[in-house]
Amino acid sequence: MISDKIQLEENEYVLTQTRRHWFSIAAKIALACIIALLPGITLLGMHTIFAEMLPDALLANYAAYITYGYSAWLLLVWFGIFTAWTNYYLDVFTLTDRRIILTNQKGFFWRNVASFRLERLQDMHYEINGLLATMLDYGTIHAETAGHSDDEFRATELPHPRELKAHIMTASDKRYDRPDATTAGSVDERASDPE
Amino acid sequence: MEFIGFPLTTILDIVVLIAVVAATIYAVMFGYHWFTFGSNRTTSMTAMVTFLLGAMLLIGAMFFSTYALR
Repeated sequence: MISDKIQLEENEYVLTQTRRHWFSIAAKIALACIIALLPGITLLGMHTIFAEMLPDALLANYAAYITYGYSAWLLLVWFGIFTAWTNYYLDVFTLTDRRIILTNQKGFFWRNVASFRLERLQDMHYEINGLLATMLDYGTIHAETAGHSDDEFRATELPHPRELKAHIMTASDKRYDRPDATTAGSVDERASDPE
Repeated sequence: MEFIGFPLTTILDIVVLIAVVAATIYAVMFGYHWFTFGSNRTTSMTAMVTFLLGAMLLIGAMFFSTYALR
């Protein structure tokens, strides 16, 4: 379970966890496949168009060099695919009954874990931008939090943002109404806020 | 065939060696991240086996290409 990797508080439980939409990694893998095929297609195209300059006999003479170079190229693409997959696999959006936790793997040895308490949630909206995002139902969730900096919490390419937003709002409302919600400290502040 | 005064096969051998070192470093880094922060040990293990098999296949192809040039 992903929740094993997150330090939960006592009696805190995970409501939902999600990664970025599968299209996010599929697009990167598709791009990597195109990059992987590029030298092969180029060579094949040149061989077809400039058949006299690149006869079969010449290519056969350099077959070992071509295999070597293409394997080295594919190895670089292979590293790239797994680097992209690492960033996808380790990016997790977690909603607990008390907090939202956003784990973002930005690169090797560069991990950003951000969380904010549901009591601090002031406003929330989601954004589905583009044809593919609309068809595949993924988007960005923005959450404005109450704080000194009024900073915004942003999670991109999340699947089913509408349902996720509803889930967060329900959890936030429950949190606000719970009598034992004082552990965060800020509930009382919000309750006494004249607004 | 020579390249900057060295036999080309020697240069290609050195590149294969660099590829092996790079693949090892990548495997260690991937392993560290997947098994430390990953959510599922089976997924991490499958990814690691896939990565190593692919890398071994490609490095093997590079190695046997230089072998064919001798």
